[in-house]
Amino acid sequence: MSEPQGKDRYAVGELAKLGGISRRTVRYYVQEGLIPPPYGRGRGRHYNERHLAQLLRVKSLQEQGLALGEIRSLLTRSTIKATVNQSMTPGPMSAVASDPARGHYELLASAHFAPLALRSLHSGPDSPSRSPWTRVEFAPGIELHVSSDHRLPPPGRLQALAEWCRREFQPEESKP
Amino acid sequence: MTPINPPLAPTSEESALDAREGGSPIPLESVSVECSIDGFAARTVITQCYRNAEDRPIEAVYTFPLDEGAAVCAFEAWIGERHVVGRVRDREEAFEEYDDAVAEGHGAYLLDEERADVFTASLGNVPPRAEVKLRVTTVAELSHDGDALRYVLPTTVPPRYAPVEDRGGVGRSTAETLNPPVALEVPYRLQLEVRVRGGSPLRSVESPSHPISVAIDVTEATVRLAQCDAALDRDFVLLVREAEPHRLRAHVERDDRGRCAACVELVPRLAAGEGPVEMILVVDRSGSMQGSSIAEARNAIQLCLRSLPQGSFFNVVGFGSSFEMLFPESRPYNEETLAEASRHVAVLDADLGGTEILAPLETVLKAEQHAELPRVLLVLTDGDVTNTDPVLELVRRHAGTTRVFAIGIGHGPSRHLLQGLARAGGGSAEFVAPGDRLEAPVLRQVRRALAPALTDVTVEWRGVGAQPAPWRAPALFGGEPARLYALLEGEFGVAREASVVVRARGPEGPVEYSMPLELDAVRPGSLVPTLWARARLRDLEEGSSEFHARARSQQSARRAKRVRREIVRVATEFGLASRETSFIAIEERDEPVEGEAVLRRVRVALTRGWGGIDQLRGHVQLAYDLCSTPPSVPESALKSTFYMSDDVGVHGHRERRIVPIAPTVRPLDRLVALQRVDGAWDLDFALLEVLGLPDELELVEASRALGEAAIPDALIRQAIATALALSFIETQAAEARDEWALLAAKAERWLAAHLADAVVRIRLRDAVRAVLAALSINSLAWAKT
Repeated sequence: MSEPQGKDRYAVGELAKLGGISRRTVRYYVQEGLIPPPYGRGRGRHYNERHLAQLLRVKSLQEQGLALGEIRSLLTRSTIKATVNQSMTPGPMSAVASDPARGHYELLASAHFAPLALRSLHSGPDSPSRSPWTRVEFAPGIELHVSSDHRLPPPGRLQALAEWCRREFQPEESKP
Repeated sequence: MTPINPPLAPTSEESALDAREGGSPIPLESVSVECSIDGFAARTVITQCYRNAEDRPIEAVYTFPLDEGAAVCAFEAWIGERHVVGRVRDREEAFEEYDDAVAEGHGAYLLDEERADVFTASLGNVPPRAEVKLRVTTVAELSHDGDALRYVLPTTVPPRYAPVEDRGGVGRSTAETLNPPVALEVPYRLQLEVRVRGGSPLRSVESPSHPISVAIDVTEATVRLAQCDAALDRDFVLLVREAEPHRLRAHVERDDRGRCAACVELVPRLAAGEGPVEMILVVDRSGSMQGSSIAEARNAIQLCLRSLPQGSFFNVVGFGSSFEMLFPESRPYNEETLAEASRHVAVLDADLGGTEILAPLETVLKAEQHAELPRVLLVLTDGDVTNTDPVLELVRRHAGTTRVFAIGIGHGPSRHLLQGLARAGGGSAEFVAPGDRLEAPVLRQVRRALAPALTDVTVEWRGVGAQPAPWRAPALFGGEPARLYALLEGEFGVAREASVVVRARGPEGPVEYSMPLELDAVRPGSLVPTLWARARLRDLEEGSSEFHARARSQQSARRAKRVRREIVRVATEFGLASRETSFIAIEERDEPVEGEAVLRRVRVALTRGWGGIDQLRGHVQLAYDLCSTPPSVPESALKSTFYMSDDVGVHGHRERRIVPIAPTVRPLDRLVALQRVDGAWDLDFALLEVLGLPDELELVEASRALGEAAIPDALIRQAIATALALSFIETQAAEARDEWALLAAKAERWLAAHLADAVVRIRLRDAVRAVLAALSINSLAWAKT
């Protein structure tokens, strides 16, 4: 993975926080070759959005019960369209995908927050007229959907928004 | 066991290759252990020597076992002449410190607790050709094993079955964490030295697990392995017997930080006795029990069934991937059900695949209790599962109605699961290494299950502020020591009255014991405060603390946070590893290592005898009992029923052979199998054959002894048979008294009930003794067969 210019840089702690996983898991994913190693070395090492996208994809596939071997083989493809039909659990994504007015959706490896990113393909997967959406899961059952007409806020703001949502939507009994 | 063909010894090169990770040499070179046993506790120092034989930096990761009750209280690293000492930190913070140091090219050493009995050491950035020594120090109580103190050093992490919920999830799965890569043989070996200091002259020091050399000098002993080193493929067990068994009573220690803790040992005296119970035998029939383990379990169940008192109910449940119950629900104990159970048990095999222990326990514990009898579970298993927590939680929820006793079988049973079952279920746990006879511990467990115990135990520390651990006192059995700890508050410079008061529900109503606590005789030391902290952490980790008792279920999220905070507080304050805290040591380098360190996971030796696989000079042998169905191919079973990494080196290139083992049924076992439910024996051909009697004519004198007794003919025959069997085991199996004491008591009761006249009973016993003596069968040392 070549280092992009002018893109967001995440320290390992930020990456873990954005991905909703522990730093142990970040390291495990790197060791297992599920996400590429960070750029740089020592205190300067950092990750970027492509790392984050891949991390979220791996996490989601693990949550769906895929074994590491299966995830590795999926990651070698440019798209993981097949997994949408085969392994996505019923939930918000299925609900959206089954909406005939919105067309059908494909998960793209290059999407911003794939596999949580959705793309509406009104006239087929290769149509130039597609209208991409990005879906970010803040917590189980709480998602942000943003069409490509809008820019995503920078990671720090996004994180703050996620934390606000998690706090506000926290079940009553688990509030401190 | 005799191999079909002469085995070939592997070359050292072959041996090393088996354990290599993708052809690279494994970095662990040796493990040496120094242990000192003093009184009721052992201090163990484990030194792991690593060497990076490669030309690039490596990260070595080694998952290894420790005694589940041990407090891990120190972690150090030597890198050449440099020495760094580990600090205890919150588990994730410790990892972050490790990760940062590794990224910066420094040396970093991390010790994580995966389970109470499984730990992982990570060595980040070991430079090319460098040597590193890691030292882990633990302190642990010794357990009681009859009249001996038992020290255990686990050396192997057997493959653990993972239910589906432990195989997935985000990050490294539980299954992967608890199942390090295995190899049939590993080149690193165990060296060991144990020093024993007794409070009185030592009567014996022996190991049922390893050949040892022992030098005893009155009250002190030094133990070494007979060969200079041993494979790390089975637990090391040492039994120490003193002339006067150690008795602790009350003991208060203050450590160098001024913390005072007390330890009190209780040995309740209870009248012997036994009553009917509902006993459910839960036996592990998973693949890992293949070979000698399931054969031992069969014998144990037969023995156990015949030791039940009349009026009992019982059932037998076998579990693997699924479970099978002998009866849909517990049945009354009678000739008919016993015969059916015997037939069922005789053909029990380890043919049920995985180790789904939760489902059968759930079914049994939720079933309605029978006839208002106390319900006891006797679980026989190697216990190698990953889902320990939900299993213990389930047993704890039913502790009010069911007591659980556990027997661990094999070279590497999960002591955490088995001891945990006993703690959660108010019972006790015993362990049987292959080669040990299973009967004695089984019958000790049956006796405990049938005997009256002190339950609902509460402890009051009078005259002193105290935080007790365990928070909920265990059930107390007659003659068996139990230890209770408390962290004491306040100053103890001046003498003042303090005592420990124990109240409990006994067989004949409430009982109360009191023991003075001598606060003016506080000794310096950190052992008792450390063991208090370990007991406190166990309460918190196993869900039996005051937090768990108070909080309602809907507050579980908040409770989990509080429990975690308390674990971190106690563990960091006392410097102990725990589920939430790890040891971290950083070696800052002036010249950081360049380049990415390559991960090297150290393979562990497959537990000896695991799943029927045995090793004999390099040959993998698959043992099975002649009586049982030959097992299906364990190689595939290994992968389907146990979680293992794809490249698991269980079978390697070695040859596998089927080696039948001749059944070794002792006359005692055959005699036991012939005993009737009511305690008597029938005078039939089978009995005569076991006793070595040519025919019934030999018994004419015995029948004359009964001539004056007004009893029916059928009973005369049973009375003679019962007296014969009793005399036989008393004279021929005196050393195995533990095994037959319950059966004999039952037989004596039968004789007393049917031959009311004591004089007649004595005449009968004298007559049958004469018959046996005449046959000179005393020379048959059959009990030792």
